Amino acid sequence: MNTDLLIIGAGAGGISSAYAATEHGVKNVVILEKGESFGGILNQCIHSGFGSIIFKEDLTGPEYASHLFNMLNFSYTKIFFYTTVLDIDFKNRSVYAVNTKFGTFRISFKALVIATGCYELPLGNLIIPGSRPAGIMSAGAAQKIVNRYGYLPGKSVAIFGSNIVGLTVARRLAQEGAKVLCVVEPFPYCRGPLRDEYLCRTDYTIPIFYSKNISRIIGKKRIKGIEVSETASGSKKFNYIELDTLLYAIDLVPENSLFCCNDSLKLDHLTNGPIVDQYMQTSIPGIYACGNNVYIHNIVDFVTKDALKLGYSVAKFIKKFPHSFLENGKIVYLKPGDNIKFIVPQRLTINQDSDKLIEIFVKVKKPLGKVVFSFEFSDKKIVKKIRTNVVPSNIEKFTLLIKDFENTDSDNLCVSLSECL
Amino acid sequence: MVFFMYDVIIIGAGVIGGSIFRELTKYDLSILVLDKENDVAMGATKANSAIIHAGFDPAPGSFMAKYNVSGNKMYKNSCAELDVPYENNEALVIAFNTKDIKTLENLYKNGKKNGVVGLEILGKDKTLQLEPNLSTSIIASLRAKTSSIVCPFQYTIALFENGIANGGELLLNSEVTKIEKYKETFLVYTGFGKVFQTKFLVNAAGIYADKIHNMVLQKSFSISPRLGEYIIFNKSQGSLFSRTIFQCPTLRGKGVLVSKTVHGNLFIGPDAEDVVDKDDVSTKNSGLTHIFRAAKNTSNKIDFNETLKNYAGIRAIPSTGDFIIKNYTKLKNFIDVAGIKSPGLACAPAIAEDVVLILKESGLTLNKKSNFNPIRKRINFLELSNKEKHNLVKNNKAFGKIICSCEKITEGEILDAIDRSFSVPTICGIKRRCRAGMGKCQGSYCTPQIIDIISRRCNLDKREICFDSADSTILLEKIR
Repeated sequence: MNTDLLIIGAGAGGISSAYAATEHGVKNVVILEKGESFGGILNQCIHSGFGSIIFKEDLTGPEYASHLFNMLNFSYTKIFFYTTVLDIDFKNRSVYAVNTKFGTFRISFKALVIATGCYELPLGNLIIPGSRPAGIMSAGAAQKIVNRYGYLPGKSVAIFGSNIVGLTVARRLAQEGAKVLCVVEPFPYCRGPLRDEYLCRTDYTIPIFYSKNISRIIGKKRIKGIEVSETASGSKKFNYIELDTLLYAIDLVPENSLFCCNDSLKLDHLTNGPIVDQYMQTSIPGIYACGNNVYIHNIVDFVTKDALKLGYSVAKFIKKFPHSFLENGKIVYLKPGDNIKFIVPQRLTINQDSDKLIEIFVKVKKPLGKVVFSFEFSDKKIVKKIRTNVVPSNIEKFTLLIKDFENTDSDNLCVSLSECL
Repeated sequence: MVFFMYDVIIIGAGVIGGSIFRELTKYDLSILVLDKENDVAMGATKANSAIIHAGFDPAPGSFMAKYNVSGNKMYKNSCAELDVPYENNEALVIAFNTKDIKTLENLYKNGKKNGVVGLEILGKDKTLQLEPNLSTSIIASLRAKTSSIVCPFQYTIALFENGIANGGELLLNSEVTKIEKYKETFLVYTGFGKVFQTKFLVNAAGIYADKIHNMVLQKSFSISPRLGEYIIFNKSQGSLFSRTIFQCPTLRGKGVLVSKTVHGNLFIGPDAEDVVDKDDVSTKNSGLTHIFRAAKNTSNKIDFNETLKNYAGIRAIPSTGDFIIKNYTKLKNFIDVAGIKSPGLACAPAIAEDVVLILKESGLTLNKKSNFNPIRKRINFLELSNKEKHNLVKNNKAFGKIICSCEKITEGEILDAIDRSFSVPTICGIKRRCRAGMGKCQGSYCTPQIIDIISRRCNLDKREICFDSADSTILLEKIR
């Protein structure tokens, strides 16, 4: 089997990419999806709050997915469900996959979009002493069980970690009648969107304990309680909280297992995703990535926006294939300074074809008041931008002018951050 | 009261009980294994170092030395028969100072006395050549070429599956509460009011072997629990070392080790702490901190952000200092196989052979079965060739559906784990059989789907499905 464009994953990133590519004239797209349906994680996000940027509507997760799906051009797009990619052969441009219909099979591509999303870090990523009983699961698993299966994992629940999944599931369980006792967050600030934090505190009166840690898990068959230490590290003083369920929402990590062992596809160790340029193209020509496997987005609309950026580039690549593997032009690398967690894209390709405006996404390491972001080459300052109340959960977007990248000999654009006092 | 009559009853379904069980199923006998847990390998067998030790450590002349060296040689063959992952990956004991070198020399001599082959002391350069990710502060090592790794719970599950296929019986959830002598036999009472009669009784009850012994005979030993903690890492760390790396042993154990697992993860541990509660396998901050520090001395290349899980096991420490493997002059048909601490895993196949000899000497008639089949097979989708994978899916569509995306475990393997000869349809029971949920997200993604698969296959309400031990249900309430 072969195709012009192969997309791994039919979540928001995958479907949006298929749409973007066909809009730019790609006529042969195959999407491989490991699950039973399109939409990925959107299917278990039955709350609203999706689509205000892309569709100018307030949608639920499944509605957002359906809106995207209905935009697909099915004359040019095929989707295979229950199909898992086992291996990508970057050199020969093919993937090895399995599904119930074809057994194992190979499918060659001209261009590839990796849109495999992210996974939840396990509780064991943190070293918490105690027992390992029933009643402990990831917030994402609990969300699926409540929203898709209609069961409640517990009645007296604590959430460990204040990321977006944790805060969403905290409210969802409270709606379904569970007593959500608290959210325990080791960091001194909220790691999820401030709006979710606000709703937890005000509408559901769920306390969020910052700079606290779980120092012990207690219970033999099922969890009975946790000890919450007074400080994030090593305090002997603790409060005992009796409960029947602990959900962990520690962190989401880009699902990179299909390419992390490949030397030619460069990973960014700050995001754990691949290094991409402004067209979401990775370090291998014609291999693109978008969505949560590039970095963890807090709004699904931005996943779709990522994908819209790759349509033009993918179409051009396929048209010229197998010639012209590399875009000509200058390559600029973005270098993060202090207090910056990551920058995406990590690499820019500058030539006459480049869009006049380039969007840069920056995540800060900790909440800061009023700050100045400076974008500068060693020999040339481009621009300074002032932002107030920056937080890690809200990824800052900057729009730079491509013409500012001219007249410099440097390949490294440093992005630095300084606090205004 | 219902009586069932057996030739041999074994109490305890760990690796020792399992090894004896499978060995006995080679003969024309009726055999029953009783265990209080809802799965086999739930005690020390589940959480230990998973090393088939070479045998340089135990005191010469001890049971531990004798069975270790002979047991080590038997694993390759039994793992091949039982289709269990095994690798002869060798081991190094590393030395940081001259005192450690003295220890290496003693271990070397000790090993020679025990009959261990393939031992050599290496200098710093040669050691680092073999394992370049070791700390450069090491100055020498003892290489043990026969040291191997295995998956102890998969091995034990395989022993039982094979024993059952050859006519043996296993009864789980059956705690022995009372044992009575009746003429030349024993009446074994279990928690559910069932009584089993047997001509011979083998006590392989692990941490509770003293309790079982005392039901039959005067107290003559005690078994105390010693906790050992471990931390397991993502596969990203699994290729740091090809050999198992030990630090020099101390009075309390073999020293903290760093090893890859047969499945390609890295793990570190154990510490050794004497505890009171025989059932409490909670990890403790002090122990975890200790093994962290120790592992950092072994290598500074380990990425401690890549941990997946920490857990602890209980080791059965006998008051006598050595394994207790014997019958009694006034009670020849009762055999203790007790206090099987480290290197018990390595010893298990050799102990089993000897226990059969003891049974024979005590009057058990052994007639070899002509139809004993030593082969047990499992299905591991990812290990198959492309063609085999393809054919498997063509024959059974469930093998085309990946459920655990970290470890690439198919629905077919999960159903196979449920359908096997003794089915333990719990999240952990399935995890131990086919590794679904053992990857980098530790079941964060696939647990709901596995609950769904168990519920459909076993016709259970999702609220009845357990995480691991009996009554450890996961979902508390139906809302729609």
